[in-house]
Amino acid sequence: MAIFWKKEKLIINKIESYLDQVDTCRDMFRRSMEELIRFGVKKESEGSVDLVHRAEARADDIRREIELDLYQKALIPESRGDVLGILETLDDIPGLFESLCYQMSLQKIEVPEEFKERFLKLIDVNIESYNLLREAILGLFYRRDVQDEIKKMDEKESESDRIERALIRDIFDSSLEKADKILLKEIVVNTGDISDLVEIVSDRLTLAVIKRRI
Amino acid sequence: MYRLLSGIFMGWSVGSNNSANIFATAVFSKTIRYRTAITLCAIFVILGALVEGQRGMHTLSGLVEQTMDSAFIASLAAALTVTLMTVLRLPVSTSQAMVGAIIGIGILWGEVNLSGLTKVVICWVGTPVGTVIITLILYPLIGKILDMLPINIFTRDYILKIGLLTAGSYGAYALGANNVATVTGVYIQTGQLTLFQAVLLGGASIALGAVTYSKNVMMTVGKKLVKLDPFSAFIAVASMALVVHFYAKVGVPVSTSQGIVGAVLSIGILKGVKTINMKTLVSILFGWLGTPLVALILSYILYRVIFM
Repeated sequence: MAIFWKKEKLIINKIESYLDQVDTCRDMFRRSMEELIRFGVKKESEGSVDLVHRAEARADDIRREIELDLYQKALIPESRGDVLGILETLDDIPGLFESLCYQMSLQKIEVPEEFKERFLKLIDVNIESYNLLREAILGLFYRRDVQDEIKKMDEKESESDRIERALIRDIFDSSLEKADKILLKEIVVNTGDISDLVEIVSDRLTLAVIKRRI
Repeated sequence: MYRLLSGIFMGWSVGSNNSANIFATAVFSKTIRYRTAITLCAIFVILGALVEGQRGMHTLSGLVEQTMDSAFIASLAAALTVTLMTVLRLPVSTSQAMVGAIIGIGILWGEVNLSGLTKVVICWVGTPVGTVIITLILYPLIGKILDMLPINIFTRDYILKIGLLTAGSYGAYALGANNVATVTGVYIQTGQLTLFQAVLLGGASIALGAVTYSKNVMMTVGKKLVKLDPFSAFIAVASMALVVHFYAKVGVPVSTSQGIVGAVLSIGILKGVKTINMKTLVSILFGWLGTPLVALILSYILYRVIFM
């Protein structure tokens, strides 16, 4: 009995520390993107992008440790599959944080003044969507009811879609060069992918909860 | 003494066929390892036989007056029938096989205790019906309680695992208590074994069957009939154990196979009939009808050829 609680606590602690690491990655991503959007790509931007990369790599390491622990019979196979599936899909999100920063810095994307605030708003809505997902995932490990978060995530995804569409329309209505328009559109679409990924993880989470409801 | 070998053979066939009913669902929902399952099964079968196995002995020995030769043939015919069904991977009733075999000899002699037989047959019908009803009650009831508990996924899994181990061990205990009479009951009447010896030998031989040859029937029960999640598996085994233990108290050997199939079907009904594999169900039902009949014919022929 005691061994079970110890094992359970160990894995939950690791899952929490994984989520904390994704949070760190999220914060680095937010800071780095704001720098890149407000001040453009500069030599010193590399440092902040590198911090996002390191946070993502550390999150990856923790996820692998959790996978190993879970395979060592921490859960019955059905639940193990559910938890691993959720964590693996979730892991695409810090990956996306990292790739968005690289996309901005490597492609030297300059965001025109008139789009800056709305682009930052798009990033914030997507980050809020991830924050809700984080709470819902913890809910699976601490309590059962995650319906509230799941509903709010859906709302955030719709909000993100609205901002994304409006931004793309205005980008193509602007006087920018076609190539710049395409680069901007891509980074906007990819930013909106965060809440799409959140929705995928949230669907898995919903299934895991429904499967356990008798 | 060689006559006892058919009893041991019978016990082995009970273990190989019926122990599947107890842990199959847990093993194939991958909640419990096969090795853990058969070890627990062996221990609790012997315990059940020793503590509560005596009652059913009198019911079986009351059906037809036995001689040493008839006891040998009845056990042999029943064991051959059950082994045949095990090879065909069908979970069948060993008590039906034994009763069929005893009746076969009774017909040959022209003497069968019909009132005793009626009691046995009523209980046979009562077994699957009983597990269907208990499962229909337990599944939503315990499900609701489990849903209401503020527990996480780890604790839920742990509770289910412990539940499956407990229900399985209880099921093995009920199997030992109920079916040991089927295995060695006939030898008490002939005076070849004392009650204690019969219970011990019966329990040990059932355990041997569980340990050595139970995987195939487990496949049929646990994998092919209805795919079960750990919670359903727990309810199915618990319902079966309750019903079989009840009949052990009444003193009528019944079938764990019919018990578990009733419970599993009941879950299939609760979850939607589409989840039930009808082909497997039909072959199981065929096994149930065929078992007493094949045992009856076999014992009739064997006794006639060897001793008449």
